[in-house]
Amino acid sequence: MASSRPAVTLRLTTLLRDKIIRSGYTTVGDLCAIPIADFAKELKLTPEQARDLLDQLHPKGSGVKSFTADQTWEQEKKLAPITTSSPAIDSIFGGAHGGIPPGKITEICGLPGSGKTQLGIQLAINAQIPRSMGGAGGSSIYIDTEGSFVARRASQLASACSARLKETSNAAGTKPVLAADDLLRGIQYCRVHSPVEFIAMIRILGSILQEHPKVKLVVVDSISFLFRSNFSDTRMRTKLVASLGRQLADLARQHDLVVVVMNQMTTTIDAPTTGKRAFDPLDDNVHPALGETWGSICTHRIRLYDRGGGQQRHARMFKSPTMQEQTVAFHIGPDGISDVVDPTESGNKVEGGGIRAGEDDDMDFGNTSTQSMLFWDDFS
Amino acid sequence: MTSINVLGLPPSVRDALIKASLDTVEDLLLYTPPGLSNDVPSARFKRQQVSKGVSSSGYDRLMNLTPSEIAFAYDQAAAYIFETKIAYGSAHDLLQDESWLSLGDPVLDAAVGGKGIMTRAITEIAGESAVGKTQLCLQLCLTVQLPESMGGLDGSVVWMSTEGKFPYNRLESMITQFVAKHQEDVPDMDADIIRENIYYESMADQETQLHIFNYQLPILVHDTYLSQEDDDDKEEDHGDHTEEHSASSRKKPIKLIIIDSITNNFRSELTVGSSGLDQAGNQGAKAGFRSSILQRSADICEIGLRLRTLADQYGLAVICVNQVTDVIAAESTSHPPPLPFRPLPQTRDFTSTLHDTGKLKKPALGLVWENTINSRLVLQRTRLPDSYGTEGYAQTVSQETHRTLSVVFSPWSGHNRSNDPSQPGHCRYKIDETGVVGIPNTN
Repeated sequence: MASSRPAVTLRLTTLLRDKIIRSGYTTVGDLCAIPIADFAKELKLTPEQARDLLDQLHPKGSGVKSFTADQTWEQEKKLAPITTSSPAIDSIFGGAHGGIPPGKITEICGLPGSGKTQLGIQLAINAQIPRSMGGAGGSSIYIDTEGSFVARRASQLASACSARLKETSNAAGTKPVLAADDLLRGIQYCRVHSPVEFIAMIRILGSILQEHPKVKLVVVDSISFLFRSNFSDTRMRTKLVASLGRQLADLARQHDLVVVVMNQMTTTIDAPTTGKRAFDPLDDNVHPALGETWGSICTHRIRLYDRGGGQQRHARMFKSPTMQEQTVAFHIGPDGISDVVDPTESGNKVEGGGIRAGEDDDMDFGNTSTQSMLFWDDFS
Repeated sequence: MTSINVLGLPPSVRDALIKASLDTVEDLLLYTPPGLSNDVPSARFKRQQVSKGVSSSGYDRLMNLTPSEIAFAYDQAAAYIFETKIAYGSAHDLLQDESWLSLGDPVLDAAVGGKGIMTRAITEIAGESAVGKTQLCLQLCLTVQLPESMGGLDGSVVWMSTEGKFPYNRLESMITQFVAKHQEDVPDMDADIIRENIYYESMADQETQLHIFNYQLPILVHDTYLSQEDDDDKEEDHGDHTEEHSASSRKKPIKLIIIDSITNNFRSELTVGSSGLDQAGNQGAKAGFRSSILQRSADICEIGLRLRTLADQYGLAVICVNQVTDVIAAESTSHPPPLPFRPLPQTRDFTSTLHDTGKLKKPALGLVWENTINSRLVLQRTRLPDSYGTEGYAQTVSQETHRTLSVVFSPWSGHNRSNDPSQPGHCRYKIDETGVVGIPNTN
């Protein structure tokens, strides 16, 4: 309700109203700003009066619900994480099936060429795979701020994915479900060119999601491009990025979406001793752009990089609520993302410890269900 | 900037917004502080408004709007921008819009992903001097004019130069070869038409550059599309295909922007603070340098955004030539240095006095620029050419010259990290009288 509304207009007993007027608090906004317990103590309200006031200030059904941890766990188990097509990367997210979890924001950062967009495209396709095979059985929205989404490349990945789906359904004796064209049509794509368009898009996203409940994934590639160095007012930029981040987080929660946001790297200048080092295990003087405010909004944060030479790439999870920091290797080929192809290379070696099965055995990809093994186990 | 009058808001709301200086759709989306919806006015916002000339009372009027009214205005603004500016469709539809520009040689095209460079994107060509960057760009000036069936974009090109004289003589000899080569397939094409479809802009300094990017370039591009529409209309009216037809096909719409080079204006203007010694001494100079760097970053981002938007609007290909800079010792020990391109093993043996290619080099302008471009191609060589022709272009090529083109990163093709010639993303090339020619891998 409007904060400027005078307090005297609340429906309270005369006694209570007098107390409030004499206390000097004139508007509803003033009243809402104080914890009710302190207020009650200050004005010497009885518990009934305090409860009355509370009811008036925050009418029932204002949206605050509470759940037990048990209920939350049950709900979470029903949700569908989306596979990245690399069981190694899937495993660093933990959880029963591995893969990028819904209801939260996952950040993927990295230098140019590290594979962020490729992973984004792969996820946009995988979101459409049936749940039994590691997908979410829904469609995707891809918000492109950089122009790195190439439909022809997405088409390549879609064909490869469709071929595998066909194989699996042939083996299982069911009808093949998704053709390459269907997979492409299942990706809603839009391109934004300026911060204003980006703000508008995020705002509109809410109504789009209402109308299309089948959407299971939103990819923002990338969030940093529009905001780095363009804004002279850094505080305003921080507020803007934080507000947009929160909107995305809310949408993720409300609609059980997987939200993946790409971020660029920026050079570390005059790095103080500890803070930035946490993000710089590779010691190459770069850290994720947009700062701590944005960083704290993301639930999971991964950095993609490659050490040059060979076709092997790495993904490092450096923020996660459940899993320890760890690094895995993966591969990007003509057919998309996959685990490292040649098991005689270092395989999916883990650096820096971590809770992962399969450390000893190169061929064991960790928390992979048999369905996924069937799906991805032949690398040409 | 669009006035909020287009939004159809209730008059009281609209007036309050205008009085608070939120009178454009863009400002409304950018500056509506989260605080307005949460009923806690941001003191900073209020100060800003006052400094913009908005009276304190104007701002207070804004505060009397209910959150739902403000949210309504905000939603209307978002819907307006979404409907008018944002193209929203499926990835399948996008396939139709994508096109590629051939580099003019099948081996080169194969190296960069199969069809050449992509439109609607910024591709950087980086390398040391005299390696062939400008040659490749000249070649693109010609291929862009070919019909789409032959790998071109049936368009014209804007050459934006910071390098001084345009290589006219070299262009002329390439044109002659080009026309001869395509005589059969494109009989319409002649040297005059080709020349007419290459526009030239000189950008002497940063100020000129900004002005051109912000005003002249968009207008120029737009004009070529307008006149294209006019010519199409004329064709429909008259319906005859003789003189008028060939006249109207002379001037093609701009499909390619070449910037040679993007580095110059940023490098030379990196001044150290303001002139004169101030008592603060070092502090002043350091602050000046730092703000200079920040300003440079901001300018780079701004130019990148402009180019990107233009490229997307009109389906253009954008090529930026970039120079290289040395990787300093401290960086080369960090692991790995921020994206240097790796010299070929052979270059370590090269011991010319002019080019010590034992040192690692990396493209200039840093990470900010790297984050702005879509794709990076790098040209390298191992030996100096035997002799230089006029205007600094090698007319004869040593037998030992070993030049390579590599893809460092690109969203539409794989890159070749190990410079293994058998993998895509990498090829050898030579420069002859026709231009840049790829050398197939003969393994």
